[in-house]
Amino acid sequence: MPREIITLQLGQCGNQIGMEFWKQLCAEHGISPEGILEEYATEGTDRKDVFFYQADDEHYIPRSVLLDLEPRVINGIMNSPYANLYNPENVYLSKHGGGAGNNWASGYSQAERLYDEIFDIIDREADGSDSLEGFVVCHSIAGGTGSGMGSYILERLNDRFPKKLTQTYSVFPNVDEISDVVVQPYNSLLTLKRLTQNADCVVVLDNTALNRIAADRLHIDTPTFAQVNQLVSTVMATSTTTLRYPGYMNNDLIGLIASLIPTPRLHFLMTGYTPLTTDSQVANVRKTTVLDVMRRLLQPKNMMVSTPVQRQGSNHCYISILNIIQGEVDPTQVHKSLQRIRERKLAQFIPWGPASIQVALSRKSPYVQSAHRVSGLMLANHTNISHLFDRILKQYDKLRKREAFMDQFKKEAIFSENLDEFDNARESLQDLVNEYTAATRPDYLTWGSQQAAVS
Amino acid sequence: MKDLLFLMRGIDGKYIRSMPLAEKYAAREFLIDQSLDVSTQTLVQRILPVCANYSTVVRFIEEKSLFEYGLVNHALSAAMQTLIKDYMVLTVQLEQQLNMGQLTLQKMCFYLQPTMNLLDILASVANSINRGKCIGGAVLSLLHEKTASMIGDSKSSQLLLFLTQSACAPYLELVGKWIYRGFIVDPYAEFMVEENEAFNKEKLQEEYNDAYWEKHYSVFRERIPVFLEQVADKILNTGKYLNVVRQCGLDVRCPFAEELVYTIKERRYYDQIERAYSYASQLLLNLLIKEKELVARLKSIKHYFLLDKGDFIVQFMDMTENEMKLHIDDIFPSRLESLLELALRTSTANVDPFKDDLRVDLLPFDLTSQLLQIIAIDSNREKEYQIDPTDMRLSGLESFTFDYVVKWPTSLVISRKALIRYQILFRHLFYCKHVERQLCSVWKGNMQAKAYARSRWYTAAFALRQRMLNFVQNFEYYMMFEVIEPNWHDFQQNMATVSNVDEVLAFHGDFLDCCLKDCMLTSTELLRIVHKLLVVCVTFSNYVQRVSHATTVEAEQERLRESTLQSTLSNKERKENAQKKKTATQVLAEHVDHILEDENFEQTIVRFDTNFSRHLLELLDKIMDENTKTDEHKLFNIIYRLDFNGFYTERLEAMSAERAMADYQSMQESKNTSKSSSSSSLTSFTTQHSESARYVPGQYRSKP
Repeated sequence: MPREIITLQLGQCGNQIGMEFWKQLCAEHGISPEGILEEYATEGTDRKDVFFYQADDEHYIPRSVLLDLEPRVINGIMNSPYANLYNPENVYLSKHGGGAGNNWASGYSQAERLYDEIFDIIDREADGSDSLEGFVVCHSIAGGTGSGMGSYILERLNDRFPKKLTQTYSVFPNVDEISDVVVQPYNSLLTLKRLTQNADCVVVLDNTALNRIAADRLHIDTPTFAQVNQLVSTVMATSTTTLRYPGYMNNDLIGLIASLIPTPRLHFLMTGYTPLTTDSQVANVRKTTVLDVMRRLLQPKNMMVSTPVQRQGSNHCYISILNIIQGEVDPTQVHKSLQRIRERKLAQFIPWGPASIQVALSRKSPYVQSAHRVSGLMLANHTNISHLFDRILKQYDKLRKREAFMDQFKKEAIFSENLDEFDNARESLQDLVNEYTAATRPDYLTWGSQQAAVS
Repeated sequence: MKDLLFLMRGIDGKYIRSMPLAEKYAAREFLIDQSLDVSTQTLVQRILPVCANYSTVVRFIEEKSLFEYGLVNHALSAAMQTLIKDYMVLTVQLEQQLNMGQLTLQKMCFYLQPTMNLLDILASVANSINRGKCIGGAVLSLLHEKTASMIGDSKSSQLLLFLTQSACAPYLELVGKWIYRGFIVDPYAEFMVEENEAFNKEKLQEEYNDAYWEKHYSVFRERIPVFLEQVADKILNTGKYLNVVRQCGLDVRCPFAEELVYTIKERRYYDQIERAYSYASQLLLNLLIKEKELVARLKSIKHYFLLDKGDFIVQFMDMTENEMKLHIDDIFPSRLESLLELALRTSTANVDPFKDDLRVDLLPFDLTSQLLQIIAIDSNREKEYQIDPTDMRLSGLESFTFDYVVKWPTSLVISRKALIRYQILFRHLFYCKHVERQLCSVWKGNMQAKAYARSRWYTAAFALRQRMLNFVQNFEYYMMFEVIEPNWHDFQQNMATVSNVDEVLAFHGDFLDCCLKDCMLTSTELLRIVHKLLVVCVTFSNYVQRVSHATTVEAEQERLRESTLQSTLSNKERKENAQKKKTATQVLAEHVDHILEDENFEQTIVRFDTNFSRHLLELLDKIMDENTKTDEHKLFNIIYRLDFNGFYTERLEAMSAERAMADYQSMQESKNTSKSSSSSSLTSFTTQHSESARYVPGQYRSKP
């Protein structure tokens, strides 16, 4: 009776990162692409049953649901060596296969039409687990399927499973390059409303930063999807290690994220990972200590979220930090590192409550070789993330002023009568930005009631 | 002359008569007929001690050969007997000479000269043994001393060496049996090690104060021969180790077993004992570590009692959630047992080969009272603490603990005493985990507020919950990663270097003691505060859950009604339904707001807040106080954790400033009252000292 987690992969992006994620998990648990446990992995003390279940013939099958409105990526998966890993019943492709045309509204209304079929799969999967802990949703917020369908599914998950956690890994669009999706700001805005109101925890994966990291840190000029996705899968896999390799603490999802999120709406988490290497790069062997890793994790350049470099005098601060450190670590080093970081004031924390760097020590998979003795992932709740939302708001306002590309949206049911939904979403996001700003101030705790008094 | 010879064999003569004995062990005196001439009398006088000594020795031999005087005395008597036989031969030879008319008194004197010496020594040995009423080891000590003192006189020292060696033989045989084979055959209670049957090995399982290891075999100091004094403990341990191995049903045969022979130089048998000792300790250590897999067992205990296998604990708590809420009398242990079984099978604990030895147990007292009681016993203040009988309604959670079946001989190390300490740690950690879970479920409830934009949920409640969670989690982190894990690490390293079981015991004890101490389970004050803090957390989460439960019940009913309908509804209807629900949730949100606007809620939260803050600050303050008092700085780490961003620093400073103020005032007063007394200046010095030594985190500037 493990605390199972069901993964939902939505749209092109979601399925791509999902595939990488499962690849990584299989490698770490010694499961072959066909779902068979490798000879060398039969004696393991890891927990596979959180993310996998065993079929009658002992094959490991991911607790994963693959959904898309167009066939390209899923077909790609089905032609890969991992085709037999997934439960074919859990793969759902829209019959007409036309996709959502990068239109949120189209994705949303198609999902609404496919409700019964989609939730048949999800319900079956949920019934198959003894004590379901929650759902993990992988999607992007800029496209059509991941954002639109994702939004709809998030809402319904909340209704149907109010007691379960919903965590999302949401890919934010790259702002450095001109996107072929002109309505990106619309899509992002509408999705963010659902992420704020219907998800319990959102891990923000910012394509801008991911590309930058790939370029700067890994010295790849034009990073491919696969390379960027590998970064993502590393983050996703590492953030679940304490569930899969149980230790003293953080052995369930809730214990992991509850301390990160003090108030319900401030649940957008940044990630950082170090040291970074990809397959193509030979790891330059350097001395990695716990302090080293923890210090690097606090550097903005290792953050997988693109926010303006912290200026002096800006009040933005950490609400909470969780570091997952993997490898051979002497527990006493952790304390020394914490002490050092505190003395040097390397991290600035909120003024309205106690906050600290939690450190979860985790084992590494014995089957994946790594050149580094110690590696670390940071999950951080930082008020600075509001810049990201601010940026989306500004872009949205620009588009909205010109009423650009509204026609496509008006075609769909949700906008057929009026565009209230846009205004709602904008208001909700603005509120979120305001709340994050308020959280930098000592009087944040009374901010909620102040707001209420104002309105 | 005939008389003399008779007397030498203990028979009265015509001219010389023996006096009746004044007391049992007195030297015999003789009466010489005055009719003999003076020169004869003098000569006779010179020979008479021989007769006296002979009489003493013979009586000694006769007496000590009785069974109650023990093997050592028997052996000694036997040795003396052989000497007396020689003496008898001598007297017979003298008599023969006399019969042949060749013997004169002078001649006799001359012949008897060495024998006189011999008998003298024998008699003195006999006398001192009689005087000291010695048996066993003491006899040997005495002989050893005599031998050592006679070292100059080669003849007599040889004689004594002979005596000692013969007397030692049975004793050393006992020693040999003990150190080579591990058992005692000691019918006369002479051996220095004694078995105490009252301490049974089966009791290791059951009794807390069982001192099997210490008491089952013990050394009697007075029975140790002097020459074995230094190795006495080694001998004891050697036998003990072997005995344990024997009790495991293995036959022990020391490969170095050679007969122990007494020599005046101590080196030789020291070496032998040393060899036997190292063999025995190796043997037992191998038995425990290799065959009985002691280290693996300890690891397995750590998995369960120190929550090392987190997923197992989570699973177990999930499954037993309902049981734990029940009152202790309403819980079926068998049900818990089967749930435990299930949790073990389905978690990673499944690969542990010793998982089946884990049991559940419900104790009739909660952790705090148990600990306070133990502390009270330790400090002889038992009367101060009494269990409040009204307080006895324990829930399953409070009384729950794991138990572990340990078999002989692993139970030597993992004795009941050690297990109880494990249990204490476990219950403490388990309770913390429980509190963490409660707070997490409050968090889950709170997360539902995310859907309401501009919700007026009372943020203070969130913040308080966050502070509690922060406290509990950091506290757990501290205990697990800064106390248990490093201590365990040290313990493991020590275990790799141990050479005997006593060291294992010591290291294991140290490990547990360290853990208990650093988890604040040994200090009454700290323990009380921590307990109060945790209780505040639990009451808070219960309260919040009750409030939110009241509000969500309606929503649940609504939802239930809908979901039953939903399956039959068409798409369109569902949408309408969704619309309805939206309004429903809106109503609900307002309802929540209504409750929350209620002054009552606000005040309750504030009350919880002040309560929690007060206890927490008290705790931090106490820890700092403790820190200045002792050299141990482990506890101090927790302050770093709990107050990482200096949130509590200000308040702590205020507190310590207040106290400093109070201290200062009292100091002033005491100065005023007794200006000249040196004691007051001393106390004022110490208070000042402790004040300046107190470290306030986050504050680096020096105090004015």
